[in-house]
Amino acid sequence: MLKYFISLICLFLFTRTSYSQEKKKVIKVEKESVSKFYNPKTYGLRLGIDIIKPILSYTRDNFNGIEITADYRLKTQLFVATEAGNMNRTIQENNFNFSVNGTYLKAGVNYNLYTNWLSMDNEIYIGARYGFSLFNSTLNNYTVFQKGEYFAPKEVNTPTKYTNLNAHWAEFVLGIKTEIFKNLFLGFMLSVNKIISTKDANNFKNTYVPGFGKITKNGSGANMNYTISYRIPLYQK
Amino acid sequence: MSKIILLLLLSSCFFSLFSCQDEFCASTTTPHLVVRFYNKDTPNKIKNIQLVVWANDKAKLFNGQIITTDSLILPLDTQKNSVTYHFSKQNEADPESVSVEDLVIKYNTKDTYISKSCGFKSTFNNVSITNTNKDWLKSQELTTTTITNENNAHVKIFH
Repeated sequence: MLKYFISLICLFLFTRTSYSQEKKKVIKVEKESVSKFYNPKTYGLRLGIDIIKPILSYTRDNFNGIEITADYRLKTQLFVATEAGNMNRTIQENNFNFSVNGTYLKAGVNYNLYTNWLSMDNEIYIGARYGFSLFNSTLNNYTVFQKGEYFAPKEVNTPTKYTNLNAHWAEFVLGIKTEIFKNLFLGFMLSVNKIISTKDANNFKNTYVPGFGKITKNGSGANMNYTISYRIPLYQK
Repeated sequence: MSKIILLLLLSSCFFSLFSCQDEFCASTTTPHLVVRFYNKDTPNKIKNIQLVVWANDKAKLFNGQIITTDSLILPLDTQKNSVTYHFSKQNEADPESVSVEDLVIKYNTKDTYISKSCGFKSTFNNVSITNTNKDWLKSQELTTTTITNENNAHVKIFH
């Protein structure tokens, strides 16, 4: 995973450094290849924000979160992409209530499967992410699970705080992006994820991780976001 | 290409639905106290008894009916650190002759996380049992001081 990461960073740096040299070339190429098939793509840093999470934060008492996204075109169809966010959520289970708050970062690549016509720049992409989250959780209250009702079960309302928890996971993503105005995009992304490892508290297991969502019994989860993003155009190629 | 995308989209939808299903609590939870009755003269032989059982200040168990049994499974109060059970020995031939033994069970509770659907269970440690009357009940014996499951009898009563 680390090796993969380093090569990604190298790739990113390489494209950045070669950019200044490319620029002069581009102008030359453009003049030479003004044919009707020439279809240059805009390269640049695209920054976005998830618009579901602020809406949920506003409409729900038990949710507070934000997510920003960024991606950068490496090749015509290949992008490096990242999402980062902060989340604070309270969840009521059958027999206990807990809150989780923390930050997360996901990084990976998107590959565009859609062939654009002329100057269009839309995407239908698949991709992969590595995700990492650092968080704290608080067990707000719980009721001891017992069979039979001869005695009322014990209820504990003293919150217990667990700090320095973390989780790593892998994600498979699928999404679309549409350029609605020049350099302004609307995007929708679904992701299916799988926990690689998670650090649990002593007497409490992580069932929700910021950025991952609810963890099911087999360690999987699903997520989605709906983004609005702006591309800062750098050059065309 | 569009077929592949559609397939991926459908599979991811299916995946997310599948992973959202409810989980039921199927694990072992807070254990009960398992009591077995033995013959006081031949201590390794099980002996039936006719009883009415209730906890202090509580309604009678089994709807107040007389039960004939060689073992009992009794709940423990997770809110407190002790429970007093009244064992009233009955005689169907002579309904007037009842004799009540008071068994005081003391313990500490410890709560352990099981799973998302079950939440927490209580287990009991430092268990002790005392009896004051000693009429029909000759002696009682704890087989363990920690109650974590219901696999074996925790208390043997000799009568």
